[in-house]
Amino acid sequence: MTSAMIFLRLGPRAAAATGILLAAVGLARAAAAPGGDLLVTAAKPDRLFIIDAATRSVRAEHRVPGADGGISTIVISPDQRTAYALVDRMERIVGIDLGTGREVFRADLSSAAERVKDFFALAVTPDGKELLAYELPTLLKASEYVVEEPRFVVFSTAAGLGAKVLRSFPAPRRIHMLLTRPNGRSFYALGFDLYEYDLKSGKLLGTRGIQQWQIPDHVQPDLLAFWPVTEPTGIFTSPIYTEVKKGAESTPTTSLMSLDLKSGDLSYFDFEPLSALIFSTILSPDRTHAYGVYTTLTSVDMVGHRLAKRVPLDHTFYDVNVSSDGREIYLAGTNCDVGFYDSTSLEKKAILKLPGCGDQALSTLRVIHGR
Amino acid sequence: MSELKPTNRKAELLLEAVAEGHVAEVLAMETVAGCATTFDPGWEVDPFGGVASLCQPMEADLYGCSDPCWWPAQVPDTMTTYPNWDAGKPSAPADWRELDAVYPKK
Amino acid sequence: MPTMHERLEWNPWNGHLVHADAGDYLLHVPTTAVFGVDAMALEVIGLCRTQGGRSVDDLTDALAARFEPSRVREFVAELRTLELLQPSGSLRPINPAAVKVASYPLSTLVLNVNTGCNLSCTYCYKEDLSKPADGRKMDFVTAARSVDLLLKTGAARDRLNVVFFGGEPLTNVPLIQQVTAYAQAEANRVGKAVDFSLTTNATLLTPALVEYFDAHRFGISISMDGPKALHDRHRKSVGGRGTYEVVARKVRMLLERYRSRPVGARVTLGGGNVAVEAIHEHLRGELGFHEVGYAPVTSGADDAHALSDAELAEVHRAFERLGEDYRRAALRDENNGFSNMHQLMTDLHQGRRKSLPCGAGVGLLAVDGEGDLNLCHRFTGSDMPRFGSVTAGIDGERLGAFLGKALDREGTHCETCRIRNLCAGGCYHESYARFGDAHHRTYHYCDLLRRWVDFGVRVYGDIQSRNPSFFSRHLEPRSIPA
Repeated sequence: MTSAMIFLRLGPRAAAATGILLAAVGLARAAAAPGGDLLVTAAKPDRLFIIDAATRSVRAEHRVPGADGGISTIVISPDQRTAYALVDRMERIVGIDLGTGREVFRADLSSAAERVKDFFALAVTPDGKELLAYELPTLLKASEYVVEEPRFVVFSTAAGLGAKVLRSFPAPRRIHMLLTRPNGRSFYALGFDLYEYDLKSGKLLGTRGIQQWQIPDHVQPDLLAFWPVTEPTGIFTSPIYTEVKKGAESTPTTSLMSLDLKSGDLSYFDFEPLSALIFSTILSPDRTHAYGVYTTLTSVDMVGHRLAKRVPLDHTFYDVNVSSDGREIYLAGTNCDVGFYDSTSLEKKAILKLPGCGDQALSTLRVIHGR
Repeated sequence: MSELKPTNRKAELLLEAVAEGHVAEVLAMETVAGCATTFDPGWEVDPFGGVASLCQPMEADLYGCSDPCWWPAQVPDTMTTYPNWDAGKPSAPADWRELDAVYPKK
Repeated sequence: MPTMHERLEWNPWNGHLVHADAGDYLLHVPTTAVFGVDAMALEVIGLCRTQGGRSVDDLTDALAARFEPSRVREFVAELRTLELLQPSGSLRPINPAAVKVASYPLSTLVLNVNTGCNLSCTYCYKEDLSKPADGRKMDFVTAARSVDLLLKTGAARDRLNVVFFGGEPLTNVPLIQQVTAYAQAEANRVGKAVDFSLTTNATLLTPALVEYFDAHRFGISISMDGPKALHDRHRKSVGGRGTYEVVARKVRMLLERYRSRPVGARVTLGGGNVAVEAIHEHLRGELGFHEVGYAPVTSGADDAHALSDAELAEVHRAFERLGEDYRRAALRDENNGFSNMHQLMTDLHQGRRKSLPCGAGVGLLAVDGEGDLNLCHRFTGSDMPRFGSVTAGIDGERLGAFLGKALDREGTHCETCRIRNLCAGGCYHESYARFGDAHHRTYHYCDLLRRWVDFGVRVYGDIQSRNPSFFSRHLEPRSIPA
């Protein structure tokens, strides 16, 4: 597939023609003002979508060459011009120019002799110059496989197509998220535990969090985190599942973890006995609430440390994000619809069905600002 | 503790297999050599012992879980061995009927 | 868990005890796992050998005075899981499930570059042997097609092997050099590595040739039978004279210069040549070969050049003595270069479980002057059917049928033999030469080989307990051919 790009500039009438459904709740939205929020998501088999949040319409649809089955983790360059994505069964990283749809970066992780998978972990440095990934290599010999040690690898984003590893460092096993810190010097690797490494040297700077969390009367936490979303606050949040012990009893409990990438603050609080599963959360711009998604949409009071509100959803969503002004919650992942919800009332405002209706599955929902 | 003292490495592996009921773990599951290295029984039953807290409907979860080998026993290994299982069927809710079993290559 | 009353019997087809001075070993036949066993284990096994077997209750009762019943029960359950104890009356040997060989990812091709040879060794099996002048030389086109076939079918491998054979391969050096250049260029083009090797009688080696082989990292194997009297007995020139003098001179020249890879000697033990230790002392100790491998000639008991049955037994006793020397050297962390023993130690250390006796047809094929594909280099020029050609490709169906038959142990003595996964039926050519049938099991040396494996288990166990790091230092982990 050549990097043919398909531009779709849509207004409401064209939207209807291509099968986009608008739930007629509330007033019709005005046309997007310049500088409004744009959503970036992906769907099978190989499509990247840019969605105008204000008009709930697809602004651009780009075909990602060699996606070969699906697109998972998506990270956006700091200048918001490029989306980097893990494709081809986690064996390739591509960079797509969001304006032209052209493929501007490609790193093939595998070679003839070695199969390399990157299990969800991808990050861009704050200066946009380097891309950080995590490799799980297996050497393919004639009659045996040799499992090799995992490694962090760094690419130069200017390397274009055919990018080669610039430097690599040994990595622990069971990592599935990378988060670069704004200082440009270190990154967090999250999975079995929470590690911090030096970006240049790969030196382990510290281990904290999950395996060491040692909160009295709480058992070891369970963390499922594949969506490295930190916009707009620069704070990563995630639900955490634990059990609170009281005497002989123990109560399964949902807790919320916050990791401030800038300050390094790591905090947890319990907010409810386990009642609904939550896959991912996002912090509102004013940091008063965290919104979580799975088969319900949950609003957590970050100040009072309790559940604020919860509504059922039409179906399970994996991804949640929030508008820059904090007024709307966006839902994506799993199937082919993107949801727009009011952040205070949790009312459904609109549903956008992506053209082609391919499943978004495990792709990441990102919010960027229009130009 | 076995009465048998392993003398070669094969013997050690064999005793491990016996002790663990034939589950021979060589290295952590993280290297995906094919889906058979993982097992996560989160599909049939949710943490509460029911099905209400599984993904709703099941099709919402189908590719999200089969793509990274979450259900190695239930679906073909699209990670390595059968990458084209879902080719042409991008929408699980619409296309699930067309998903077929896979057969060993001749 | 076996029930309390089920009668369990020891299955000698799946488990074999080897007694050694320092202790006893158990060979788990289906997996080639080797265990040390203690007194309780031996008691349990001994009791279960009786016809009709024993129940768990019988065993715990019989041993209650000395061993805790729970310990006995656990052990019995373990033996049951390992199929070493089975219900009496239902003993069955564990063998690999029938497998259909459908693909032939070659790793090695042997090229018969010239049927001609300047020697006329008495035991030579080459049925198509001729004087050098009359030899059928392989032409470059055939050789090039062979290399192409190897690169094509070996596509999944990163290293391939080309072996030059004959007759005497050094009677066609120009072809060897042409093929080497071609193979290296073609392999580079597709991103693979090619290794070269050859077996030679050494008489035609020159310093220039040695330099050439060294530069291309050839694996060299010299056919030499020992000190003068033994070597000259069978390895004669076409004119009937012994060749020791010239061979020894050439070998010294070779070993003085050759640096790229270790050089081995291949000894053929023909009739009368049973002094294995003297041969080893001469070739390894005096001449300086890195390792020496011994091939007893057993193919035709009536032939003058073959070992008689008594001589074969003597050779195996000598192997055990040389094997004892190997053991002592291993405890000093040295390898005494006795290649047969080293191979056996490797098989036990790797826990190798062979379904076929060798890689012939699976990873290896031989090409004759006509470009036809033979099972291996010993078969070129024989009446054995071919399995395709370098132009038409591998005859997958015929080869698959041949291998399928070799894999099928049912109805043969191999089905229950305790070394079936280490021997796997014996050399096809030996069988063909002796019985006229490549599938005929090599029953004429079964007992000797079983004894040899027992010996190997004892030595292996001893080295493991007293110098286990010997294995990691001296055994190269070898991939089992697909």
